[in-house]
Amino acid sequence: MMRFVLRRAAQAVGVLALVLTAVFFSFRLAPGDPARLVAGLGASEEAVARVRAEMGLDRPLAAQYLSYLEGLARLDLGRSTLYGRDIAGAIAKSLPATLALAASSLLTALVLGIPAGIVSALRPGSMLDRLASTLSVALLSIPNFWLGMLLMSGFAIRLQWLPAGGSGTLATLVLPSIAVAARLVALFSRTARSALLEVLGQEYVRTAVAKGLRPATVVLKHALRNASIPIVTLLGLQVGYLLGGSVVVESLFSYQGVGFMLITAAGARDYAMVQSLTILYVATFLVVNLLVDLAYARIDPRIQYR
Amino acid sequence: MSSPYAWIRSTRPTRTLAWPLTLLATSVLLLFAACPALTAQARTSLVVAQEVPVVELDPLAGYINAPSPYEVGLVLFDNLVAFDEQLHVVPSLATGWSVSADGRTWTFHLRKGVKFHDGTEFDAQAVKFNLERYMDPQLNPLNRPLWDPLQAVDVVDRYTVRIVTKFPFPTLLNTLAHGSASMVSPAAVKRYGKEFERHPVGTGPFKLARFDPGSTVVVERFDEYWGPKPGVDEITFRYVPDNSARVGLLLAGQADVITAVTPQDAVRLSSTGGITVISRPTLRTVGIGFSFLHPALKDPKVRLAFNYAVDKAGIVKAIFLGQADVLDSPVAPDATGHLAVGAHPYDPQRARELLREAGWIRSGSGLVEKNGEPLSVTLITAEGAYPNDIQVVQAVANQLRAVGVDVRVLKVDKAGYWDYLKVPARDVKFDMFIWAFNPSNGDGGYTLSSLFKSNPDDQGVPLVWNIGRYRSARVDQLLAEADRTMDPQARERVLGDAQKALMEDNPYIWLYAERRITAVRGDVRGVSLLPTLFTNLRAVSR
Repeated sequence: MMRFVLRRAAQAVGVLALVLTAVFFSFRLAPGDPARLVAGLGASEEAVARVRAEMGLDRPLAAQYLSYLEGLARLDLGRSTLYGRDIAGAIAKSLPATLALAASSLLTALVLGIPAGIVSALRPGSMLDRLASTLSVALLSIPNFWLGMLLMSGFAIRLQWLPAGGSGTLATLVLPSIAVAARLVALFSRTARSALLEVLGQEYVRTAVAKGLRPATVVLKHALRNASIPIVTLLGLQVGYLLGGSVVVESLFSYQGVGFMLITAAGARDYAMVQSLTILYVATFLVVNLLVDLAYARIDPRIQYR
Repeated sequence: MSSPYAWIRSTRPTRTLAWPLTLLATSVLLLFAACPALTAQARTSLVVAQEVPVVELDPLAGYINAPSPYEVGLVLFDNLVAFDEQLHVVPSLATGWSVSADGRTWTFHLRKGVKFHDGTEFDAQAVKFNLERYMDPQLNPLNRPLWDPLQAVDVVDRYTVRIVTKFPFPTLLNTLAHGSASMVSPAAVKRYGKEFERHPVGTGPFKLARFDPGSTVVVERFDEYWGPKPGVDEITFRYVPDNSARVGLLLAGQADVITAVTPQDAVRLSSTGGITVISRPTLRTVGIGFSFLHPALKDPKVRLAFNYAVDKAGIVKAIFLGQADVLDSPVAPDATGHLAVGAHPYDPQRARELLREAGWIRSGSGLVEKNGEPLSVTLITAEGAYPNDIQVVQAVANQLRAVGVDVRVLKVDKAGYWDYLKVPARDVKFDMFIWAFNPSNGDGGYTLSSLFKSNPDDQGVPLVWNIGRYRSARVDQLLAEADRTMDPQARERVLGDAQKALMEDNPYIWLYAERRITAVRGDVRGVSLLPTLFTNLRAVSR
């Protein structure tokens, strides 16, 4: 097990290094001159050259890359031209808001999606199942920004129950969470349904029922545990969506998390910030996937990692 | 329906699932119940949702992301003189001024008893400190045409300042009224250094309360303000990038003023009770520039043909729902020096004739050709650099195609648009480009100089915004004359001649002057719009 963890961690570091390198060079090769931007559009060539030297952009690419890696190791991501402060500090300030959004969306998705999937699986073809299935298709096909706009117009503008934007209070979390969670609710409910249907047909479930166990125990303890592998897999895969989806939704609701920051930084050509956030996103994705793999073994003892 | 799980249905286990569903329903209800209280606001505060983030508030360099920081600057700072809504220059921190006969020495009399937000006093020394800071090209590389003509600032006595210019400089007052000429506290600049941009201190009606760069600026009423007291205690400027999100905040009552409303939203908001929509023509002119590096576009007949081929009124009507004004000159109607020299009307037939006269003959494919080569151009645009830019470019491209021009539209990232345009000749990847210019000092001469003065070197990076590398000795001479002509009427005549010359040369397809639209909740009064794009909240009350 330990060997597996180490191997996967090493793999993750490798992938991260590749991404780091790709991101670093693609930003350097993109058109545009960050020095000119910092110096000001009316700046003389000498002023631009001075800023370029200050920013270290006049050095060879390889030297820039090395000092970038070195800074990264010290968690010094550089200075944001947009926010005028150190990037790590700026990200640390916005990260809790995004984590809150991701957590509440995920929680909503789990709490609504899995019970819906269970109910559907227990009564396939019933009114309830068909309703859940129709709803799922609808939720899957609505883009999250569009749903966000619908929610805003209904709950914030017409009913005025919830704020239309902003961040920092519990209330501002509700509509963005629903907008992000909608697709996940549908996915979890569909996955839970099909996984449970498969498990419910297995011999050991029949045995459990025959032993006289309570139906709830059979479903929740025996069947659901075995059905949870695909659900956990889905969970890992959807972290990417959670992060990506939050960018659009945060911008729509002017919810000030890292997604909002990413959009703002990209618009203002704050390359260092965009670069750091891209890497943060990739790193999060890698870590979650590792955790998912480890969770498999915990859920199903038959899964052995070597 | 037969299936392997059919047996379990009879046991009805769903009853036991009631608890998680109940828990969920309760928590959702609780969340909803908690909300209205959290959205309430104090009575005399105001929330303004802006489309651009405010990241620094030093007038010296803080205004790259116009217009939002200018709008905050308007309530934090005063200038020696100010623009009124018609862009006339009126007294502010200077109560009066006079200019010497040679047009080079200006004397300004200052208002007495004015305090900066940090308690220090505003006087002639403060003016000298500020102007010298702006004149320094090292400190202030932005807006050099506004500052380079200044030579010296002398303190005459405590409340009198003398400004000497290198040559007669007719637009000095425009420079002093410009947003980047605000008077800030010298004590605060010395105290904070580079960090002054996070701790702006002026003499304006509001002082800074909280500044979260890239997100929120909160200002509160300055009780020792020398002028009329503001009608609200506090203004919060919030960055809300999404157009529909700003509208949503206004409709939900979370914002009182929203900037950069689209024409489409303006129609909707106009018919909503309790909302006032303010739309005002601005000085920002939008056009499609020609690159003079393209051999075919060097022919004035071809440029004129292109101008006739484009239906400007149709674009304004269809894309802006009438919320823009077709240009009758390279300069917007409200700018100083504007002369209506007439637009080229939409006349595709005339465009085809002109192309034929220039030797471009229609071929079987429907395209015009010369020596077997089609007339091909690449038209570059960003999406979102200007309102509806991509739609405008598509419309122009389609109309040019209709007269036989092979147009390829090249769309690039909005953030990097300038980087594609301001490049040496060898790196130019376009033949035409969409471009807009807002002369933020209110002067049409600034537009003409910025866009049409010949570049020192046509192979190098364009010096200002003459991106197409247009070159005309006559226009250069007229603009140089306008730069030094003190008599306003004589100067307008010279600028008028320059506009006529440009309208004959057509270095651009002139399109329209933008209108700026701001929407305000009904109980908010005193919001006005300056033609320089800025929403002015100095006189706001509710």
